[in-house]
Amino acid sequence: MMNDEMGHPGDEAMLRYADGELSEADAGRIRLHLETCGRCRGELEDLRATLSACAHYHQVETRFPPPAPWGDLSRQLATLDEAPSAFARLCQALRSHAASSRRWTVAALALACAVIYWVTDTPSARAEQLLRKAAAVESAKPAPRRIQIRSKTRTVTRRTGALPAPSDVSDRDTWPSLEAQFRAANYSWEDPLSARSFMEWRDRLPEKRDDLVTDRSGYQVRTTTHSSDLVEATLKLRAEDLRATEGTLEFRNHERVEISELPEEAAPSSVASVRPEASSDPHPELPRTQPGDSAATVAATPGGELRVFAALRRLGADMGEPIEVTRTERQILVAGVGLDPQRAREIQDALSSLPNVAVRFSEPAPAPVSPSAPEASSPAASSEAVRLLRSRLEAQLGGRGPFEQFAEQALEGAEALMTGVHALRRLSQRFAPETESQLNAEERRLLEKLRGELTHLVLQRETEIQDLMKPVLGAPPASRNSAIVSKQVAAEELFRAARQVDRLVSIVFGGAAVEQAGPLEPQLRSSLAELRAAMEACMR
Amino acid sequence: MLSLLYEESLLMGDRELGAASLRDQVARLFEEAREDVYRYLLTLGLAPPQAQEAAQDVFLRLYVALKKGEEIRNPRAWIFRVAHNLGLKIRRRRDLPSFAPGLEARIPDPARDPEEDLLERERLRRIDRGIQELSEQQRNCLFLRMEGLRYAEIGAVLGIGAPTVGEFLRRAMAKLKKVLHDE
Ligand SMILES: [Zn+2]
Repeated sequence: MMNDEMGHPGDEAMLRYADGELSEADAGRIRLHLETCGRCRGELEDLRATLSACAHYHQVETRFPPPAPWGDLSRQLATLDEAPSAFARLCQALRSHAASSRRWTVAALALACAVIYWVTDTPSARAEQLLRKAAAVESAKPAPRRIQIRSKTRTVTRRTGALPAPSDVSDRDTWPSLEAQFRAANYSWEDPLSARSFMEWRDRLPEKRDDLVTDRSGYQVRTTTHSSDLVEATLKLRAEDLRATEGTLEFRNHERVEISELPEEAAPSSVASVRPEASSDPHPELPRTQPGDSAATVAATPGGELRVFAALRRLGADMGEPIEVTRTERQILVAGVGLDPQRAREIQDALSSLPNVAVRFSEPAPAPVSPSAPEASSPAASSEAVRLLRSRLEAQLGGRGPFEQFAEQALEGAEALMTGVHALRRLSQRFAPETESQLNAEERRLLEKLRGELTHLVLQRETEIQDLMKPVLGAPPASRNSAIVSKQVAAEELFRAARQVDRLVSIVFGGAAVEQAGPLEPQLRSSLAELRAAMEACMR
Repeated sequence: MLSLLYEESLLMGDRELGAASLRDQVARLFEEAREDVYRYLLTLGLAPPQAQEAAQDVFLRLYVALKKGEEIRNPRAWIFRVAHNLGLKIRRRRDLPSFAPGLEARIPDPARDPEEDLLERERLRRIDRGIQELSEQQRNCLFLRMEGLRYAEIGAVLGIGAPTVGEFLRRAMAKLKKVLHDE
């Protein structure tokens, strides 16, 4: 433990000493040494200062109080016990959540949450819980959006947010009075279509009644009161993400206002954002078939297909889900097999506004396909090379248990990487240069945006697997500079490199059959280096 | 009242214990540890609402596991392990961008002494930079340590050995010490 002839403890022993991780005997020896060694006392002081700076940083870093009050867990658990079927459903949801990495969707968690909603008692409590949750979701990703406000006499379209006045009101005479009505009722004029605004209004009412209607598409909260100029308000929250999509407000003077969300306009041309949930997603750009215009023949264009990809991207349905997109002269066919019904509905809804798109989902396969890798501990397939590497890793990681957990992470990491890489490759293949040249400027920007998002996601996954492997394999050797020119070639190269990593990972950690001999560790290391290089080429 | 978190073993599949008592124990653990779990999930890059939801989910899972008779030897390590895996899954499956609002957004308003405040900010900024440069595993070890886990517990959470945890932390500290003292 003492690492030089003078008996100064090394860095690690010092840290363990500061962290109280040493045996009493070892700690005693260090204490004794510190009494006589100024240099080590100085080291220890430095270390403690660093630790305390870290602690302060951690405090600042996590200075976000939970957005909602914590639920009453014991009550939730009790209700679960009283309703055995709800308990079974929750177990089921959690199980599918845990067991199958690929099939897990928001739906499973939504189900778990739904169970909790249903078991809490009154409509008011449910409405309140729902609103609070929706408001929390909103605040996590506040996104200005386009809304339409309709009163008996006026219809106005504007963006939410702190805009002082609607930008495109044609008649400014009647508008201020409506604004004044909102203000008098304590209802947000800036952001009238939001769970938070609804909740703020509702929270201030001394007297109110709530009811909650649920259907397949979502929830509708309705609150009525005598203690405000706004006597009734409803808000519709979409099932999948609790986003507020429609609302109605009824004032005491019988003015009735309807508010709804409009699809986004085309993204401003300067947007080069790579954020996956950028809310500005242009889709209504293709000329629509007018009702009654039966002769309208808008062919299925690459641009149309691109919008399908964009819609799927928004749902994350372009990764690892059994969905195929094909385009013929006349239509774009989106076909899926064995999707769970809620997911299928989500996708259908998202595509319903796009022209010339046919959606076909066939019956779920009898049993969920579990593409998860074979048991990490399967002993049969191990060749000598695998056995050697495994035992080295077991020793390094601290035993069989830790190794298996590591193996699971590695397999999951490789799988996640592959789904991302597949999606990126598919986009590149569907929009090869000759297709890309048929896109207009606006569509080309959309393609760039999608490509950017997918690349970013793949990068995250690539980084994860590199981070995981680095401590056990060492940093990958310096990657050669590849001379890849086109995006398509880069995506192909990335696919090849990722598949190589995936293959080696399943051999080493998943017990896949070994097709070739040779030491595995250097192969794995160099495949990771190639992956790195290909990733970098993609980002250029 | 003795904290359940530090008990050696939580064997609640025991038929002697009624359902009510099992619920109470989980609820108590929830109250003791939920904020810690929530904070850790934030450090994994989850946004506050997701982190809160996931934190509750962890305890529901704990209840389900115990109800099925699973013996949980170290509840604290178990809870953080489940939170860790769940947090990574949520981030990956929903393809969420990491919740990282930037240090500036988090530094509290200028404090009393402007000069001291400036130093403080500079120090935070340096640590922030250093932490960005750590590997994911080093970072996780560090943040779990900040939640008061012992090395062996951190190892159990991350699926690595305690000696490896020591090594990760040593490297992390070396890096951070360097960033703090760099001119
Ligand atoms: Zn010394």
